[in-house]
Amino acid sequence: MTVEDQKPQHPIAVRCTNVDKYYGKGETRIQALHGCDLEAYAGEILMLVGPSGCGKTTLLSVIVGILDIDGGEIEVFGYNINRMSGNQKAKFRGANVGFAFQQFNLLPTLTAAENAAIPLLIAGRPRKAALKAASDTLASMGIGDRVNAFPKALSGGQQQRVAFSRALVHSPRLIVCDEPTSALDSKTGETVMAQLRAVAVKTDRAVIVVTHDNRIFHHADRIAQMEDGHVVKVTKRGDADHPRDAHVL
Amino acid sequence: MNFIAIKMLVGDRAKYLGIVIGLMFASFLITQQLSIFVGLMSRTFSVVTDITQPDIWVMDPGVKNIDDSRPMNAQQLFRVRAAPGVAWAVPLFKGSIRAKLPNGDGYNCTLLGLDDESLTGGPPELIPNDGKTPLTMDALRQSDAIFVDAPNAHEKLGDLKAGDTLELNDNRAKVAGLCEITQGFQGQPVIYTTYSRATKWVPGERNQLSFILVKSKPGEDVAAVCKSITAQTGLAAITEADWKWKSLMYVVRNTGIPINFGTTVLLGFVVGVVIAGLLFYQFTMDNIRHFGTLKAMGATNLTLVRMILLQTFLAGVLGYCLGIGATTGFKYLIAAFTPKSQQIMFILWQTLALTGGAIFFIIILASLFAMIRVIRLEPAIVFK
Repeated sequence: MTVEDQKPQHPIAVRCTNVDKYYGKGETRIQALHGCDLEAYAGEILMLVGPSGCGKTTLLSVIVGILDIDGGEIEVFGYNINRMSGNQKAKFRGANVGFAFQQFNLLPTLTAAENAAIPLLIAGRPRKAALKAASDTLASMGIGDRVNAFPKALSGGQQQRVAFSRALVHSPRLIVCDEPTSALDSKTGETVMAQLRAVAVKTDRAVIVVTHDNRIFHHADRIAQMEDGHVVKVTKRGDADHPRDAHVL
Repeated sequence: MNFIAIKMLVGDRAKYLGIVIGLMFASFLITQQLSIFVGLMSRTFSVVTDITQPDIWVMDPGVKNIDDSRPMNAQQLFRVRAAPGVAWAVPLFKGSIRAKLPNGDGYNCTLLGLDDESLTGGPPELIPNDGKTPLTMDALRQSDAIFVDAPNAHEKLGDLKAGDTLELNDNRAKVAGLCEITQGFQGQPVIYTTYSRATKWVPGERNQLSFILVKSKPGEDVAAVCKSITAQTGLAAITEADWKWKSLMYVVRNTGIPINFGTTVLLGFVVGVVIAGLLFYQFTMDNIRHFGTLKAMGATNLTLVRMILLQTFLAGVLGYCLGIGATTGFKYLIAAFTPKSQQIMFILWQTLALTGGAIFFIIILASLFAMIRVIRLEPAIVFK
């Protein structure tokens, strides 16, 4: 199968070309990404998988511009993010990127609706309108009855749904998730991923998920396997070697 | 983002209260100490404050403050009256005299001798002897008559009342009435009588004219009249405002009072910086992951700095207001339990403004480290 065969019919959302990333200086300097190449397409869920320390999270961080790269090029929807200033990157992320984190990162003093409304508030949307949109998004994630609950009153699955709502509320073109199910039991993880797939995947939007959790691999349209700072293999749904469970990896 | 900033702050109640209480304490300490200092310093020119009729005070050039007496030759009064621009000039005796109480106790008092004819320089308020009939300055024209300041008449002079007699340097003095005055720096009882009586009672020096009180003619430039008096007599002629300032600055320069109060004010400032600064920095560090999340999601450094400034400003305003409230409460509490003569807190608007400035400076310092930390924050922290 050629690379062209693997490419879906949707446009390229993210293109990483020969990306290098180092941490530290002098003798303690280590290379986290070694000439890393990757493409993510709109309309798909791409999972980055691999052993701990292989550079998955680093690659995700440089794609969204919260870490600077030391070599190579990264384009997100045609924008060369590594050539933007810090403020330009922040504004770009605010408009185009939705985040979901392993520990959810919900603000404990805000309600579910207020947490979910944060991207809209950052964008300058009036509070009332932002809360309304956030409540609607929470409802689409199946927790419309918990809009006024604080995070500590929510279960892990509900918290992750709030986090997904926060990632979706401003209709970003790229959604990145870092280990979204590792803090959840298998049933809850399966449920929230199914909901993410149902709500998030659109023809003009790409979803990149970093995960160790082989229980959710079947939600991926493509899986990029990483080792030692570079992508060693990309498989798509239907491929014989598509890693659908832990035994493959 | 403002409401997120506010909810972040008030959501952490322990630190929020700690920051507000730290700022309140600083505000209280600074305002209270400055108000006592102002009250105390205003007493250094209390006699000048109470004598409102003249606009110029004339004295020996060597006089340093209101309690410094360098008597002049009586002839100087006539020379001053002859100076251009002078509407009227009257003598004022100011000295010290020992009062002997009926029980044999003695007390040093300030004696003010007023011009016999005009009685210029009397107390600002006379207290009716029977509580109804107004007491006038003319009561001082009775034989051996004196007015005594009421708080000290009650507290230090054996609860003197109108009609009582007092022995002043072996002279019989009869209390014609009590008066309210601005208490002096030394806290001595103040006794008013006529100039001739005062100079007779206080044993003598050859010269006994302490001050000459002068009123300039209407329309005259007071500073120019001062210059003409000095040119004509060689005496120091000072406007009322300059005389107050000179008396005050003498105490400021020659006592450790400003240093003592200044140290406490500085302590309040430092306590505010340390408590508010440390707690606010700790609050920021506790929320650093959340700031990182906001930064990752697109909040710019400017937005985060504005959030931090809003948080500290909110705590600062609350702490400031509570501190001012506590100071005012302290003032009224003290007023309820102490004699009027011992109440020395003057809360001026300038003091409130100064405290506000200090609190503002504290919150800027307190938020500075937090702002630096957030500006330098790598949003990649959210993935760790």
